[in-house]
Amino acid sequence: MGKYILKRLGISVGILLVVMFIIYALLRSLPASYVETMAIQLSQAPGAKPYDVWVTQLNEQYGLNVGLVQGYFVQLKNLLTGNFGDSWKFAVPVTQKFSQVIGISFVMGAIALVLEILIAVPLGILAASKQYSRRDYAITAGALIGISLPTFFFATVLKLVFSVKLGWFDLFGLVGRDYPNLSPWGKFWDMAAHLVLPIITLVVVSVGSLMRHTRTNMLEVLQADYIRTARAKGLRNRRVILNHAFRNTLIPLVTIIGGSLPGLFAGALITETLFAIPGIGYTSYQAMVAGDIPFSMFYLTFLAALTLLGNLLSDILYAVVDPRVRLG
Amino acid sequence: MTRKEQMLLEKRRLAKKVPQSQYLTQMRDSRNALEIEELRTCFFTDAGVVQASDGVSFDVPMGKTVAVVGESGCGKSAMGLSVMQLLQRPQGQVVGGAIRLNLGDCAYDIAKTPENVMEKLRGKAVSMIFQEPMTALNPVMTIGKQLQEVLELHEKKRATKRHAIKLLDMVGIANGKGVYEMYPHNLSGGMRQRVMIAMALSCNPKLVIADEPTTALDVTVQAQILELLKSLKDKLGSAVLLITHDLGVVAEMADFVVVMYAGRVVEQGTVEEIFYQAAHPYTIGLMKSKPVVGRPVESLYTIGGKVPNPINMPDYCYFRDRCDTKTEDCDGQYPAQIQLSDTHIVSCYRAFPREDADGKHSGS
Ligand SMILES: Nc1ncnc2c1ncn2[C@@H]1O[C@H](COP(=O)(O)OP(=O)(O)O)[C@@H](O)[C@H]1O
Ligand code: SF4
Ligand SMILES: [Mg+2]
Repeated sequence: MGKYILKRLGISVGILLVVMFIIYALLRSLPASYVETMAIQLSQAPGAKPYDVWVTQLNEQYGLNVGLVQGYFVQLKNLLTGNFGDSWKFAVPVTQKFSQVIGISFVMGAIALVLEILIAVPLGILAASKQYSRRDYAITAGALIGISLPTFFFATVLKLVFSVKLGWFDLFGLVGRDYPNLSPWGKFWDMAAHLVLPIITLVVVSVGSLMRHTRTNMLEVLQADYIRTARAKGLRNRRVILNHAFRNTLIPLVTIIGGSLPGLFAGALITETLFAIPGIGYTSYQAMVAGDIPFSMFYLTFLAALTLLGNLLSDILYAVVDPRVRLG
Repeated sequence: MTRKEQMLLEKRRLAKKVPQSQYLTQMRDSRNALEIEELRTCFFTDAGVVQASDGVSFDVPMGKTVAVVGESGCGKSAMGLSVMQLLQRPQGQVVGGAIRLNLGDCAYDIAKTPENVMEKLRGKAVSMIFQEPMTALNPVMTIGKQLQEVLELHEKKRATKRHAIKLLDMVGIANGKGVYEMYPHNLSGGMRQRVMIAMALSCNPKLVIADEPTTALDVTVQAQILELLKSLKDKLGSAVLLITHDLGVVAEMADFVVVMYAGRVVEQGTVEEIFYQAAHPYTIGLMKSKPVVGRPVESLYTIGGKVPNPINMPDYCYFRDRCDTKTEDCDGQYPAQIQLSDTHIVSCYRAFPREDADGKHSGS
């Protein structure tokens, strides 16, 4: 087991280095160049140096005057030595900005994921255990509606109903107007109330696909020979499903859920923007549009590393739920 | 038969409070463990209705082994699953006929027994051994747990590990303690089939249905498993309904043989009658295609043609298009059954007395 994990880690590091190069190359070729934008601004000041001079000077300053490969190795060395640099756009260290905004995205994503699992798995199993029944049709149709709802539309409807019509929640923002004057508990509740609509949005638009996965897996498992054996023993339907089928459906579900864990750190770009939640999704979008290479590089590398780790983790979890998989 | 009728059948089977009078019945002969009468089993598919069993009738006497033989796809498994009420639902349904199971003090008509009563019969009064030992056991549950489950369900509320290990011992698994903790993937096919047999026989069922129990196994293992099945059946006094397409297995195990073709029984009789006095051209063909020591394999007989489409069967002998010995009579309606002896029944115009070919002499 230990040897297997080491080997997999080694492979993952190799993949990560390649992915980082691709990210760096892509960021370098973005049309939105931070340096050019800045050069234009600086050259427009009265009595300033001309644009070309500024570009050359800034390129040198920001380390963009070297080739792709050399630039990559400089970046790599910096990242490996823990020197993540300063964000160009936000003018603070990258890690500082990142740690400021990641928390809220993670909390939002984690709550949404837990809710999703709690809703999708039981409903998927219910639907599958009585295929083609009215219950199945209702659940499947619900899932489909959730999947096909565009985030911006659903968020807007939620806002219209709960903020504008009913006035239960604020339209956007993470905290209310008189947040600074609240007691610690008051602050907590204020923030929680502001997260209700974004989390509902996240759950509704993504719960459908997990539900459909669960249903499909369950249906497949219910066709298996060992399920027929379980019925041949005289077990009731309930026990067949809970004792025999459920654990077998967990195997593919673990992969899906394991694969979605890195997403917790990716943030939710659209939802965060719509509700003006200063999370990592919204921030990385701003950085990318501004051509902020250090921040984008750090964020994307971090995600790539997490994805690789997530895959490794779900393979190990696999071995936990499925005795046939013995990592050796 | 429409989808609506299919749903109606399904609903009736899932009904909760069905009076006993609806499904309790009398055996025709109390010495039989199972009586199947005019069984009709259908699969409602998108392409049409498949008549998997089309008026199947035969008996399984107590403590005896009845082999059901026939080519792949002729409806053997569907017939066996009908007796267990384990047809793939909701498309598979028993639509007519009677399946009487003798429990000694009473008899159930399984065709009319609702699901919640059927649960109590399965695994206890009637159990089944499946063809695929590789996939028939739950891959994520230990052997011990899977065995103990049946015992807990039907025998004792708290079945102990000792019981389960005793069962493993009974089916010739020496290292019972070790195997108890193992998962199916740790065992060979033969060992898994032994576990299946232990599971099927753990509650002393009146009837065991074995659907091609050795088809997926190596030849040497086949013989061991058959031997085990035979000795256990004699020990427990269970009747066996043995589904197979291997005539070697039939000769080894069976007391009676039922030959099926395209969902119907074309001939049935004792082993001797079927092996030495086969009357139906299909049975004769099966016998000829059986490999015999000393006969070169190249000349192995095969029956030409293939089984007709089971949707929309014609009303004439289903075997007609493949039959070497058909006469003009054979263009008539499906041949009725002729009783050649107390036990020997055949459906073929060749067996009709010459002067009375319209089937009025039919037995049964
Ligand atoms: N689940 C199913 N759905 C539809 N048709 C089926 C199903 N199972 C079996 N059949 C059909 O029923 C017929 C009998 O099949 P089966 O009983 O499995 O044959 P055998 O066991 O003799 O090989 C075949 O024509 C087959 O196509
Ligand atoms: S009834 Fe006629 S066609 Fe059918 S098996 Fe007998 S001889 Fe052949
Ligand atoms: Mg079969």
